[in-house]
Amino acid sequence: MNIQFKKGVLELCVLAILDKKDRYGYELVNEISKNITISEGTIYPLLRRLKDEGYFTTYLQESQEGPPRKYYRLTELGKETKEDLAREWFSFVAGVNSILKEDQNE
Amino acid sequence: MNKQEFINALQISLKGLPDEEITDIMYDYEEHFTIGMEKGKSEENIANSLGEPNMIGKQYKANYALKQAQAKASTGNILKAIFAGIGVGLFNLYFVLGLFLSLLMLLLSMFAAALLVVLSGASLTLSTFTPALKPLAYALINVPLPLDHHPVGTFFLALGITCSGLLFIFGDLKLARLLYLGTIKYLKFNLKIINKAKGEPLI
Repeated sequence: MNIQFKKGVLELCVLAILDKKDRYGYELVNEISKNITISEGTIYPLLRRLKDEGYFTTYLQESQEGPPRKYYRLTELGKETKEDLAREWFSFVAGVNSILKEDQNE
Repeated sequence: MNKQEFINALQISLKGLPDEEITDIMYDYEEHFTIGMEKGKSEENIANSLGEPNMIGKQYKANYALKQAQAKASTGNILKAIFAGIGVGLFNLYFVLGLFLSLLMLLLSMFAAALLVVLSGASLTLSTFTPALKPLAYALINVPLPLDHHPVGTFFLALGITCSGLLFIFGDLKLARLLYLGTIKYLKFNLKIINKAKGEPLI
């Protein structure tokens, strides 16, 4: 799949996953790579950038299995942005789909 | 590649970033490996899934360079951000580099010209009080002889010239600001940064 598509929607995917509940890094990476083939290493830099820009905050939480884990939590800005982006995405996909359907009908 | 090889390679590729930043970044990957291994994955498997450490490092450096340029829009920071972007594969930035430097040169020459106008005007203005400055003023401006006999007229003319020069300088500073901020905006767009505040569409 086109790398440009992936780059553009990766941010939306991260925000959407965190919207449902807070996650730690490994969890988040796993969720994404379950659904999209991507170089997992590109996700951490993205997380760092989005955190710098205020879309989420991080906190440490003790874990039973080992050292404390760094959790990511969406901020208000993150939530709003996710809503906007998701809306744009759905309308974009609907648009493309209807073009494709017309094309197939011919 | 095993965990230590990956970690080492990543650390090397992050050279140039501030120490706390590097430490913070490495923490993420240490945690990632630890949890991955807890879940039963092998070091090689985890390292493979993560990808090339130097590519990852370049991504961090590009993000950091852009952050620096946004904090302080200096020529150095912008150039660093452009090169970091090229490092991450945004080869169209070569073109941006060329354009930025040419426009910068143009701005500098306009700035120099404006400065000269101010200097000429100022020296002519002052020469109406201080005849000693006349040789300098006349060297800078081609003063027609009749003007020499009208110090008051010359004074106001020269004042006008000085002010135009200052206006030009002011205009140049505005243009420079446009150039710098415009370049940074383009760099952000290239790194596919979502900018909710401006309401820019994602796609």
